[in-house]
Amino acid sequence: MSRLLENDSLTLLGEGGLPVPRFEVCADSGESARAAEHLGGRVVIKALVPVGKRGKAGAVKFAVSADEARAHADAILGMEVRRFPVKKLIVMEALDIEREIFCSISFDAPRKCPLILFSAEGGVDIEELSEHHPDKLIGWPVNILEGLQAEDALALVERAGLTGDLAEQVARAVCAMYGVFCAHDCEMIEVNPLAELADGRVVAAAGVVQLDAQALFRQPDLEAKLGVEGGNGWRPFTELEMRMREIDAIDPHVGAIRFSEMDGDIGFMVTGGGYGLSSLEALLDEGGKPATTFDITPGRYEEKMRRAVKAVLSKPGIKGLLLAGNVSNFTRVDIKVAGVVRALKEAELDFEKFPVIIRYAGPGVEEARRLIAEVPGVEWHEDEASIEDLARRIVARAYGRDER
Amino acid sequence: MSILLDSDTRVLVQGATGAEARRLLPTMTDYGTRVVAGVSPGKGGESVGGVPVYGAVADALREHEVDLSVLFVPARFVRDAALEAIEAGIHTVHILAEGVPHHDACALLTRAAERGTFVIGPNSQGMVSPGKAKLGGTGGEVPDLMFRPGPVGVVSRSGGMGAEICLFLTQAGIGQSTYVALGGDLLIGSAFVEMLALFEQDPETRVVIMFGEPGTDREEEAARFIASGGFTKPVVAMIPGEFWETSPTPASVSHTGALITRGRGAPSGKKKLLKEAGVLVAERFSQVVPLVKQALGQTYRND
Repeated sequence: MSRLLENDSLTLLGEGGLPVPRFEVCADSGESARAAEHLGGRVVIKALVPVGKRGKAGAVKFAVSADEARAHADAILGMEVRRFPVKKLIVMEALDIEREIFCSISFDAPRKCPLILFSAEGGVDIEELSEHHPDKLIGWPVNILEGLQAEDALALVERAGLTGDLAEQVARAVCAMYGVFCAHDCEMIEVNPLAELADGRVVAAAGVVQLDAQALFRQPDLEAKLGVEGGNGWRPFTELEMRMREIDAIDPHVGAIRFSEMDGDIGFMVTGGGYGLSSLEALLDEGGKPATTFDITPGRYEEKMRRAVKAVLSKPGIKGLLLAGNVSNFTRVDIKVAGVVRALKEAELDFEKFPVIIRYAGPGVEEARRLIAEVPGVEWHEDEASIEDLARRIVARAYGRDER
Repeated sequence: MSILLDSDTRVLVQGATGAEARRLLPTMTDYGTRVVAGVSPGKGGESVGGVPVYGAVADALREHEVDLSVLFVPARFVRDAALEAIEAGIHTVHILAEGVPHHDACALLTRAAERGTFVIGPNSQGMVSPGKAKLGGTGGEVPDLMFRPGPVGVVSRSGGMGAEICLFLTQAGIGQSTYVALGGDLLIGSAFVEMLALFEQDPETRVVIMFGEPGTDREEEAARFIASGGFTKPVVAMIPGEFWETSPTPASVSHTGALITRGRGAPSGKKKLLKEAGVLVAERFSQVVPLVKQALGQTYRND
C-alpha cells in the first residue's frame, strides 16, 4: 500500500504550508506522558494505525494531564484496531474545534482531472451528510495544466457558504493541499476535519495522504517512509506474505509479485489481472476455496517462480495447486515453467495424490511441455483449456471428486 | 474494414531505438503495419528495421505524413513524448507503457482533450486489425494463432483477457475486425464509448465484445450510450469480480473513495445497466463465444 501513516501525512501537509497541530510519536506510556508535558498537558492520544474509525474503536482519548496521558497510552497500546495491533501512538495537542470542514483531492477517472471534494460540514459523518444533503458536498474539477488559482479556491469555499477571514484561511489551506497533491505525486489527500479553532485559526486536525505507487521512483524520500505497517490495506501482512515480499525483493527488476494469503486450501497462482480475476470467480463458482492469490508481471523470472511455488506449497492444509496464465504474447512460458518444475521436484510430493494443474500458452510452450513431463503426475494444459475447465479440474481433484 | 488502424494507416514509432521497439517493430512491419518513421531523442539519422529514425516528432513530420503515433517509451518519459505528439497534431496517440504516473497521464490526457487528440492507453497491450496491421506486443510472433479477420470488434480493459478472447474466437473460426486493449490504468484516453462509436461506423463489424473490470464507470457510460441508440449492433459483455462485492469489506482509512464512487463501479451494477440496454452479458468465460455466435446468427460462417 502506498498510504502514509498519519504522522507522515501531517508532516508532509505541514511542510506544504497547511497549518497542522503539534504532535509527537510515542512507543510507550512514559514517552506519552513526557509528550503531554511538552504539548501543554491537554492532549489527544491516538493509535497510530493504518486504518480509520479509530474513535469508534476506542483508540482515541483525551487527557488533561501527563498522568492521564500515561494511563490512556497504556490502555491503547496493545489494543487491536480493525486487525492492526497498536504499537505506536500519536500524542497531539488538544484543539478547541468550533467547526469541522471536509476537504479531499483525488483523481476523477471519467473527467480525467483532479477533483476537490469540499463540504463546510465535515467530520466523521460526511458520508451520511452527502447522502442526505448531496448539495452540501461540492465537487470541484481542476485543470491540471492550469493548476488551482487562489481566486478559484476562494470561489469554491464561498460557494460552500464560508465568508470573511475564515473563507480566506480555508482557501489558502485548499491551495496548500493542492500544492502537496501535485508536488508529491499524490493519488489522494483527505483532511477531515479541517478545523476552525476557537481562536480563529484553521488547522488540519487529521490527514491522510495516499501516494501514487507508479510515481514512487521520483519520490524517494516518501517511498522510504512506506513500511510494512500498512499490510495489504485491511490487515497486517501474514508470515507467508512477508516471505513472498522477500522473494520478490531478490530481483526488483523482473517480475513484480502481488500476493495475498487467503483462508482456503487451493494454491491459486493464476497470473494476469483480468484473467486472474475471471479464474478466481470461476474457482469460487465451482466451490473451490483459494488459499492464495498470486500475480507476477511478465519477464524472465525462473528463480522467483521456483521460490514462490515452494512458499505456496508450504502453506499448512493445502490440497492442490493451480498455476495458469492467459495466452502469452512474447514472454516465454518455458522460463516460468522451469522454475515451477524445479520447485515441484524439490517438494518431493506424490502428484497423483496432490493435484497440480498447469495451463500456459504462448512462446516456448513446446519446451515447457517437455519440462513438465519430467514431473510425473502433473496435469498439463495448453491454449485449448478454458478458465472454467481449469477451475472444474482443480476442484474435482483437490476435493476428491474426480470423475475422470 | 476496421477501426483506428488498417493497412494504410501511417504509423510513427516513438522510442524507436529502445529495446522494446527493436524487438517488436519487425513483428509489426512483418504483419503489414505501415511504419513510416521512428523518433528517439538524440538518435536522429539512425534506422531501425529499415525505418528512418528522427530526433524529434517535428523532424519526422517534415519528411512524412503520420496518422498515428505508437509510444514505446518507458513510463517515466511518456508525458513529454505524448505531449510532443499531441502538440504536433497527430490524430491518434497510442501509449503502451505500464506504470505511467497518474499526474503525467492526467496532464497529457488534458492536453489531448484540448487539442482533440485521440488517445489509447496508457498501459494498452496493443491494437490489432487482423490481416492488416498491429501495434505493440499483442499477438507475439505468431499472431495468426490468435487473430484472424472477421466481423467481431473486441475491446478490453485487460490486455491478457483481450488476447484470450481473441484466441478462443479464432479457435472457433470467428474472426475479428479490430481488437483494442484500452489499458488497465485509472486514467486512460478513450474507453468503450469511443470504440463503440467507431465500430458503429464500420460496416464490417457486426458484433462487439466488451471485457470490463470492477471500478470506474466506463461500462456504465457504455450502457447509457447503447441505451440511447448510439450503438445499434449486438454487444456481448463480460465483467468479472462480482464475488468481491459480498466479501468482507476491507476497512477504509478515508471517506473520499466512498464519496466519489457512491456505489458505482461494482460489477453487478455494470452488468444490470448493460442488460437493461440489451447487451448479452456473459456470466462465465465459456459463454462468450456462444453468445457471439448467437448474435451473429446461426447461419454465420467466417470464410
